[in-house]
Amino acid sequence: MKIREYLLRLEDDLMTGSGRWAADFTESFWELLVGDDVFDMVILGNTRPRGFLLSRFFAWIALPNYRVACFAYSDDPELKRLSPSLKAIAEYREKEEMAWAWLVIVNEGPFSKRAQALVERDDTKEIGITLVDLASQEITASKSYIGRRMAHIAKRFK
Amino acid sequence: MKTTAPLQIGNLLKTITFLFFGLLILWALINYLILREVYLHWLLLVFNLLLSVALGWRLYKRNYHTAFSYDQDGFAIQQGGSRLSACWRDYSRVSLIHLGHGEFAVRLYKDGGDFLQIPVSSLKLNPSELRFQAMEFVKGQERVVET
Repeated sequence: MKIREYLLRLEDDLMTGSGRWAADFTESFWELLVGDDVFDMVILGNTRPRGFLLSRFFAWIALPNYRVACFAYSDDPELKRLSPSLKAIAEYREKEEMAWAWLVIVNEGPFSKRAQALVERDDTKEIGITLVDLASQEITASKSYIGRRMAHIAKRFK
Repeated sequence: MKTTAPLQIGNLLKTITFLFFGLLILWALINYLILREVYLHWLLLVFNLLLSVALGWRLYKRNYHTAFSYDQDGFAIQQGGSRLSACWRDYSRVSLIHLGHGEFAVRLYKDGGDFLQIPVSSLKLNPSELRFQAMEFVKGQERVVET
């Protein structure tokens, strides 16, 4: 599976599929410049689903409306871009008053052991990092709750 | 220029149905106020249906019918009575918006944050394909428009 095809599937899943259980993702940008970094895909959303009649009313009274985003970039098996990307995401989160964000890094091959260990050790609560190896269909996620949540959603290989 | 202006059957049927039942209720109210009874006959229902179709078609064309024409330089959207033409290069960013219930739109942003929305689902176009085409047009790359 190619990176573009995978990202299109992930986008579709986040906006109309099972990703809606994580957040209501409504707007998707491709090749978006955030800070000094260009992300392949950025999907914006919030935690309050729109629903219809009763479910909309229930969501309005019971659920907080936090802004969230999913960032994705590709071809970085050594995670050389990780640090500037996280900095750009942190600045964007602060500017847009976002509660949390996901970062999905896609590669058409394995990530280095060092990169996998780095992500597995990460326990940042506000940013969940997920590594997706399209060749082996292996997913590595950070250990925070939102990291594990995205690891489940990111399994979009079929 | 490539043009698409599909018939939005859902909106047309919705308009006709509202008019049909609205006219029926109006007829029943007028009857009751004047005659103290409601006169109904199948010929009346047929006439009401024909009137609803005629009025519904006019209302649909005035409020809902959307036509979209575009090439690599610019585009024009006519929605009901309002028409807007613009150049792709007037915009700097393109996004895909999920409006809910499987409806999508492509949003074009200007540098100041103003945006314009193309209702791709109403136009029965592929949202993702139009989004990528719009991105290339906005970037100013020459590309043959696929039909």
